[in-house]
Amino acid sequence: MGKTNYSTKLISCRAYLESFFRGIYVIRKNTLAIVGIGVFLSLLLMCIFAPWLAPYPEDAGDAIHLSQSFKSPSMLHILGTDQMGRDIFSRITFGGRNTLLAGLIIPLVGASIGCTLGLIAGYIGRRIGSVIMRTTDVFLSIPPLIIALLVIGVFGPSLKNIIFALSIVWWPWYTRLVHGEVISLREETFVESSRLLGAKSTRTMFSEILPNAIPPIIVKITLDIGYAILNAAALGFLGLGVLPPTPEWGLMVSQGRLYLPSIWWITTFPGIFIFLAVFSINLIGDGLRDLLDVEVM
Amino acid sequence: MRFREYLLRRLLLFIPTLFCVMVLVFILSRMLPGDPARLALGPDAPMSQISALRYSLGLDKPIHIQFLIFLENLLHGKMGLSLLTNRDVCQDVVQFYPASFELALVSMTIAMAIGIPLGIVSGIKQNKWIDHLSRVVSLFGVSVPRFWLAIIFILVFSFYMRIMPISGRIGSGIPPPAHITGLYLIDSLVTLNIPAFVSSLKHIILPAISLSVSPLAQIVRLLRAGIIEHKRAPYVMMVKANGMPEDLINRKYLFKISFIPVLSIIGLLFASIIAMSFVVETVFSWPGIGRYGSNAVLYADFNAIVGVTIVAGVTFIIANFVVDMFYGYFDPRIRYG
Repeated sequence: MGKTNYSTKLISCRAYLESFFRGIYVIRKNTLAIVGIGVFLSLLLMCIFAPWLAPYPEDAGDAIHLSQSFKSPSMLHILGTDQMGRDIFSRITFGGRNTLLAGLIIPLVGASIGCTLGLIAGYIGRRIGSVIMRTTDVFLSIPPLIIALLVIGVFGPSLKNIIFALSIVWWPWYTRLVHGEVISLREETFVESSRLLGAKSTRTMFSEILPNAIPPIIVKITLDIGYAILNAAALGFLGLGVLPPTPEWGLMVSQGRLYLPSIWWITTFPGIFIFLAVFSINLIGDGLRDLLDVEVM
Repeated sequence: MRFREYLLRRLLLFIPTLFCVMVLVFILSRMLPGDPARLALGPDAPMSQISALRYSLGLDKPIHIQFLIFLENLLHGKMGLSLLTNRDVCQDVVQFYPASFELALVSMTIAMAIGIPLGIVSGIKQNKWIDHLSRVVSLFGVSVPRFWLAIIFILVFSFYMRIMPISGRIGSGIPPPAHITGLYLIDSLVTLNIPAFVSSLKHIILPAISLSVSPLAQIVRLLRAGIIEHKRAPYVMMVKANGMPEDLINRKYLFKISFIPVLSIIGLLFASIIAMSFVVETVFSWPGIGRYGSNAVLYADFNAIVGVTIVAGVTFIIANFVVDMFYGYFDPRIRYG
């Protein structure tokens, strides 16, 4: 018994590797997706290695050099300085840590809550299923950012609360997606055989059904990272995220607004970085969608 | 006859959704840390006053009775005092809502007026220059942060080129048109107040465009995908082989069926416009519900937050209902299914 198990595992492992390499081969031909991966990875690395990359790491905090304030972009400060004389590029490298972190965590948390609920609703069905799906409908019937605002209104502004608020409004889409997939997979023969062999429903759900629903989930998570970055930055812009002097891209755009039009660089550059991050992740998402051949909204 | 049934069913679904939204808002509003009565009266208030206020607010009653009181007040148009404006939130909502509604309508119109033709052309002329252009435009549209785009618009069109106003709803020297619907564009047209119309049109263009880029992009993407998918469908090939002119095929079959998925997300796009109006209204100092709401969150004006959430939720539900009506009209499978 153990032996057979081992060999099937080996075969499935090989199949995974094969499809992985085939995936790399196919995506290599999609120039735009490669560009997207390149840009997003560079941004990610830039933020991870911010303490070493930033020309003035101390400027990420509450450093004040009033003699240096409002300097336009130059060799010394490639993206200029802000009202406190802090280097904008250094603040962008550190600020991205907050913005991108929110963008990555929110869809992942949303997906894990949503997929679990969708699996339960689709597989176990009956009463629990309809309760879950009706609750999902309610959450889908209010604009997510509005619930997030309500939650932040209750718990107060902070990055942690932005992540929390957006994560709890992000799950309904995944519930609906997985629910649909499960309904169509439930009657497949391999699911029935797993059940007949005496597998527990958790096992059937997570290791038989879920893997088959993975491609659309991956594509959706990828595309959602972009939306999450935009939403988190929008909340940061409204002053509901990190508190100054901590840098965050949305907040930096908002802070520079007071000094327009002559001091244009404080607002413009963080915005370009938000755009680049979302743009690149969308290129990746589109590439993955073509690669995995799934329809996701 | 069947269509009427479909409408009735949608209408009946509308009520439980609305009820659940109220429950959700109510639960969240009661999660506020601390005692609302003590918060309202301050830390030094004597115990007798606090319990008197608790009594008059109904806070001493069981939670389901409190919910009923909440609903009753809502029906009477009482949402409690706003800390920022010192009036009932309901009055504020009535005052600020038309501005936001007007903005949302204009942005949705822009998104559809540009997005639909662009999506159609892009799908039909797949891989031609116009298709590449519209794909770049739509990718840009879904990726650009709207608050930032709004600021760049102000920078370019208001500060550098000086052809657009910076903020507000109407020029400072121009009296607003007589209040009929509260929508300045319509009111000024009805009363033939041309200077007010021109001024409010100039003021609404930049915020409306900044709000419309993302919905526009999504319409283009969906419509393009739909047309490409159906262009090679067997039934289209069949009529083509029978010699039906291309134009007629497009108009009669292709556009209608490709438009269905677009219609289904229009409700969602409307939601994204409402949600994003919070930031865009802040940038343009647009006197709407979004700016009111974001100030309310910033200053922890709780009654106002609840009021804005309810109004936004109800708008969204109604928008979805209207979309569902069209949906049933466009796609008979939904009506009868």
